[in-house]
Amino acid sequence: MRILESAPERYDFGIRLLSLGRINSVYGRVSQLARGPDTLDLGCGTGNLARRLAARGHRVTGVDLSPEMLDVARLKAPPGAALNWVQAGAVELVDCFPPASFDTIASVLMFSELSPAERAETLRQCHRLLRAGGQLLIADEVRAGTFGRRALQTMLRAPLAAITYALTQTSTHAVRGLEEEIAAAGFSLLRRESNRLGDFTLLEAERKEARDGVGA
Amino acid sequence: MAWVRDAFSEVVETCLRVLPWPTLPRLIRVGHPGRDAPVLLTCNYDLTVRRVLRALRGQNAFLLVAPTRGINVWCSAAGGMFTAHQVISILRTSGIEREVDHRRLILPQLSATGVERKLVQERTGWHAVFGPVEARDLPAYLATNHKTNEMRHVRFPLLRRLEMAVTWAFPVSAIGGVILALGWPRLVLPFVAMAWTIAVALFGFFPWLGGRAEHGARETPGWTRYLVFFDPSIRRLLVVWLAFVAGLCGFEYWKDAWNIHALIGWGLASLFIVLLVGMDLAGSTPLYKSGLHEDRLLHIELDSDACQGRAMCWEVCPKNCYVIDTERHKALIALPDACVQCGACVVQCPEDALAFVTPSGQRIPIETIRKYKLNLLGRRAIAVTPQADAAHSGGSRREA
Ligand SMILES: C[S@@+](CC[C@H](N)C(=O)[O-])C[C@H]1O[C@@H](n2cnc3c(N)ncnc32)[C@H](O)[C@@H]1O
Ligand code: SF4
Ligand code: SF4
Repeated sequence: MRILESAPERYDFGIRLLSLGRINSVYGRVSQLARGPDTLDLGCGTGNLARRLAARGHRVTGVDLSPEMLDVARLKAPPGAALNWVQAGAVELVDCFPPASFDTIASVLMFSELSPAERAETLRQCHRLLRAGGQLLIADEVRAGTFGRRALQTMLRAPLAAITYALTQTSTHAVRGLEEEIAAAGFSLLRRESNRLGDFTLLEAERKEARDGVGA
Repeated sequence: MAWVRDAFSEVVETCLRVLPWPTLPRLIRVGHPGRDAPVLLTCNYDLTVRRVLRALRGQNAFLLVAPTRGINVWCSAAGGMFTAHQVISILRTSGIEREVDHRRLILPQLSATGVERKLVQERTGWHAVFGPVEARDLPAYLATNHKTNEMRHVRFPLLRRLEMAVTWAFPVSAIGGVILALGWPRLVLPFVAMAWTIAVALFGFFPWLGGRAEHGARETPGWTRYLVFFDPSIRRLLVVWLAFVAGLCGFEYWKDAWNIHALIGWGLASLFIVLLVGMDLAGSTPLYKSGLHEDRLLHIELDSDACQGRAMCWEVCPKNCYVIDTERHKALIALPDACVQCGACVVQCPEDALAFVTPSGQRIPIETIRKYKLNLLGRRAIAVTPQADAAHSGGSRREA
């Protein structure tokens, strides 16, 4: 059950619990790699990554589908920070921003909530919104590659996921085939960092220049 | 053997109806649709998708399944998971634009609480209309291109009520049964029988039991919502309990085996089940909004000067509360007491002539309802007051 936004005030606690605290190092790593200065946090939720990016001097726009999540993000934003929030779906980026608006697009734990067709469309729109050589950073839960690891992943996660869901109505979901989809949308993959279990991955990609017209 | 699998899924999903049951958002071709075939849209709750497909047998149409998180139309629309954004998403990602020459989309009427048609039109060029409430009326609607009052009205017929009884009886008896099996296996069967009897009675007699919060003139403090059991209408639930206890007594009399401990034990257990199943009886139905919500005492106010009589309210109201004075081009709220506060009319009125008003006379800003819906499934991070809304009424547009 993924009524994620039904308890936005408990989301932060939920996601820390579910990731056993590791989520903070994910935000840290992503904000370290992000080049900016014009940065989009796609599926920003309660704005945890957006605030870190702003603290590093980026001009950050957080986009999220959920008005409740954005309310929490606004409450948490330090006064005067270069933060700006937009309520929109991931496939509506082109309605909200002109082409070549950003240097970096970062997205943590959002792609796993989209359908395959939505992922493809979102990546196409990201390509359009990035400037030449722009950077795409996606950190998400992925399905582990081998059967053994997948079984281990399920076993380790199930009890934790149940407890987290019961307490906070927060859950996450593993995605498959993201690297291929990123490449298909006209990006070249620069970096892949995974955790030991292979169920959480950070991908960095760069906008390939549109020789073949993909997404341009 | 497809029908066996279908029937099996139908049973399992009815029993576990309290859980979301997502199916892949996609485009489904029904029959052999041409370039002018109607385009319909529904939620991605598996049970609903299968029912719509059954209703459409023999038709030629496109059916879009929108990503509403596996939740049914009514709940996802009121909970903010079936909004313009999910409609835009499936229009853009399904490839439907390549399949047809027109841009007319038929939405289920009960999604009117959630979907802002203007945003859909602005971002995709699709013009959305609200079709019938029930999938089974689709063939008649498609044939005549006309929605009758009947098709607009939400009902809760016996079959639906029994379905809801199963939805409650199954998890209650399953969880209770498993717990009892660990220590008192003898009690499992009687417990399960009790849970099903009570659930069937509560929903079977629903029309006579009521179960809706009354429109009070006085505003009750927020905490009273935890006391729904003491709601006057809920007291009637106790009739079901008393009937059950009377049945127990009758049974013991007949067996001529009075056992006062058993009587008290089962009496208390049945009271618990009645309260548990009856707790949100109103919310389990498509007729009323959840009684567990603080906004349950709102009423609709119509600004007659602003009203242009374009009848969107009449078009989407599931309780046929409105009549339209076609000469003066004004709406009238003919049946204010029938209102279930779904918010559909408020969200859809093109002139912003309708708003919810609290018992103390406060007007809830229309933008608040459009943005947060009634949010029956969740909670707002920020209390909805006129002031809070003014601070960020940006809706879905970019804010400075
Ligand atoms: C698991 S949370 C992650 C939030 C945040 N990135 C973080 O790491 O804490 C997923 C977020 O994605 C948002 N989301 C889900 N589907 C979306 C879509 N189609 N478009 C935009 N945001 C979406 C949800 O509202 C939610 O806030
Ligand atoms: S939708 Fe609004 S403007 Fe149209 S008839 Fe109803 S109240 Fe009047
Ligand atoms: S009048 Fe009441 S029941 Fe009818 S659409 Fe409006 S809020 Fe819903």
